[in-house]
Amino acid sequence: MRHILHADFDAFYASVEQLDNPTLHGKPVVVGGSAEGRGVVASASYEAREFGVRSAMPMRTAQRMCPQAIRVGARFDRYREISQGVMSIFRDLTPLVEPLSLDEAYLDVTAVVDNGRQPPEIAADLKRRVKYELGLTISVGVATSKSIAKIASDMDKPDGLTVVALGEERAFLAPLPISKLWGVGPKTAERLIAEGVETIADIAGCDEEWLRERFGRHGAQMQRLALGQDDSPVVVRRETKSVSAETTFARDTGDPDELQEVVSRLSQRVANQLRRKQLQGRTVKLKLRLSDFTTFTRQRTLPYAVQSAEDLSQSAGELLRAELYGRRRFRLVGVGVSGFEQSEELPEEPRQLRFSGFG
Amino acid sequence: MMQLIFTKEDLFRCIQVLQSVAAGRNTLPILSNVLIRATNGQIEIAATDLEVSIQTVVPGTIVDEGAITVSARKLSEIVRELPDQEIRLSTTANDRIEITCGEGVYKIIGLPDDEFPALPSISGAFFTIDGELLCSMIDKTEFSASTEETRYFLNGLYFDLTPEITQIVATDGRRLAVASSDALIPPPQEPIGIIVPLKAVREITKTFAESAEVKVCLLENQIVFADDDSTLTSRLVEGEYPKYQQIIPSDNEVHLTLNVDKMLGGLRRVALLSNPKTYSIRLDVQDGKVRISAKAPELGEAYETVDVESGDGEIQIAFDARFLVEAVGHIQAEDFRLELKDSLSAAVLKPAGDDGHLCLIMPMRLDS
Repeated sequence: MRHILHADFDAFYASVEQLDNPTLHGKPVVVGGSAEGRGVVASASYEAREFGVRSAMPMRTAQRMCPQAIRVGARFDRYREISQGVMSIFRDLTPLVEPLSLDEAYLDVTAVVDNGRQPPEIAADLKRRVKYELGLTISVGVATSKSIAKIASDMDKPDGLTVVALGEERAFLAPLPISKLWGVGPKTAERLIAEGVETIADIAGCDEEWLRERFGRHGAQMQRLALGQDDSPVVVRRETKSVSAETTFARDTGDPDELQEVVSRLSQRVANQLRRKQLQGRTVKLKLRLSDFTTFTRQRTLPYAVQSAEDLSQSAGELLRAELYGRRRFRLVGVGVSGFEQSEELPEEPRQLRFSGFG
Repeated sequence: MMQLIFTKEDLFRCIQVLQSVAAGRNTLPILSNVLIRATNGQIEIAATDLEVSIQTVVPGTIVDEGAITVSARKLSEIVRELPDQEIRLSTTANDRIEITCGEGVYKIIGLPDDEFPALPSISGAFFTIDGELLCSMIDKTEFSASTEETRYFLNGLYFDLTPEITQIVATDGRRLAVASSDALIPPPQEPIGIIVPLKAVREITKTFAESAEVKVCLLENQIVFADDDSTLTSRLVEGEYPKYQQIIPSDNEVHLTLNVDKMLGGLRRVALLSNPKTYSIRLDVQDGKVRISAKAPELGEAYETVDVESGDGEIQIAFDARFLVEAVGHIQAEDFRLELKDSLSAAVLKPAGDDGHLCLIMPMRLDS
């Protein structure tokens, strides 16, 4: 029997901005790039959300919905600083902390409960301490598994605390829309709804074979989660699975030279990250978004692992060239690497160079 | 019923070539068979995997004409073990063949010949080329072709045929080899660029090495090579071959002439102590000498010095020893020219006094 907390900040970037600049307090604040530069909303304060502003929305749309919103640029160094602060508060409570991003984490507090404290009390203390030390609110979900804790923390935002006690898991999940379930994205949700499966209880009640036929192993996994069965552990150190960088153009472009230039620049950024993390990867991925917002990726697995900007830019450039036809114009380009091998020995060994512009 | 008589040598030689073309298991059963057909006073054996096909005339005596197909592997295994005596091969009822040789009788279940795919032959316009020259051009390039499946369009040789010159090109993105000649008769009127898969290329050298004249004919997405006895057909690899001329440098200013045997011997020996993970080997050119050196962690190190025959310059550069050994080893001359620019640019290797062969190798560098 485990006790898991999922904790995350409410409107993280926007709240940090309001915290650091009291004149923003109580006002609609959006964090992100400018509308002219075709930025998107990285975070919106609750005041802005009342107007329908959501993160990942184009800034232009956000400003149309809420003209009085105050836009501020993102300050990632500051967010990282606060993030380190909150993670260290979490680690005071338990060493079993699994950060998911700057502003959220899973905590396994089983040992704390075994020492005689009740999970709701632990969560309430944690919220108080974060508020007191950092001046920001977090929402916490308490449950016996990660997936339910995460759903719970989202139930009562902002400044929420939702506890799903042992034995109540299925009843808690049952009425929720399927989109709340971990692993059910918009596509899967659409397919399920088309089949009349709308709530988590519906998935739980589905014929297992029926799910498996339509969704394969993923179907079986969804059903287990819908039944409240989730024994995935809190993993203290999350391994980096991929490293990527992307950019949205101020103006859509189909110009091969301009696109290659951007691919080279992104490759340099990815290469820097890889070097810092001492990683080299075999799978190079190119992400593209067309003018009509169609988004797709092309990837190639190389026979050897690469780290340098030059190698990345070459592979990604080849993937890019195969996509340059007709009158295609691109809105976004991204370069990523996965399939990592440790690169500790790399710096000392000579590396084979390749012809540029070749397969 | 078909009845044929062969010598072991003739039959075995032909089957061996065909067996490598016939498809392995897990495909259509008929594709792992060879077709044996005796018509118009000629015995022909054929194999295909639908990518590459070969048909070839086998010397032998026809008692009765006919046709059958039979497992290429089984037939090859049996003929290999037969004593060096007259082999009689005949068909019996229900698509079986019976082989008798000495005191032995071998019966194999076959498949009817009409299930065997039709094979193309030379039709329409064709070029001709000396078989020995064709095979030598292939030999000078094939080793540089890629065997990595991700770069399928590099898994073949590029035949770049222009009115001026015929070039065969291979590259794996790190090295490149080009063999040139003007031996295609007649030269094409328009440039033609095609990629011939490696599997076919290897069969070409086995089949046509001694042919005085090979006919080359392009069909839609196929190429046919033929002499009087054999016809080889291959599907072409689809895809665009890289613009290889662009990467052949013209500004490599350090020109050295070196002896092929001395250099090859030095490279082979020093390479034995190169890092087994990278095969990195270093060349230091200075004062009319090339110092070849290598070092392997926890193993040891080696160096050897080779005199430069002519030319001068000063440069330090590292290569994958295997690439250097293969390139130098394929140079058909006593001396070769090594042209270098700097430690990060491709090296050019050419036989001295012969512009018909060129190898290009990218160096290795220490990651900063």
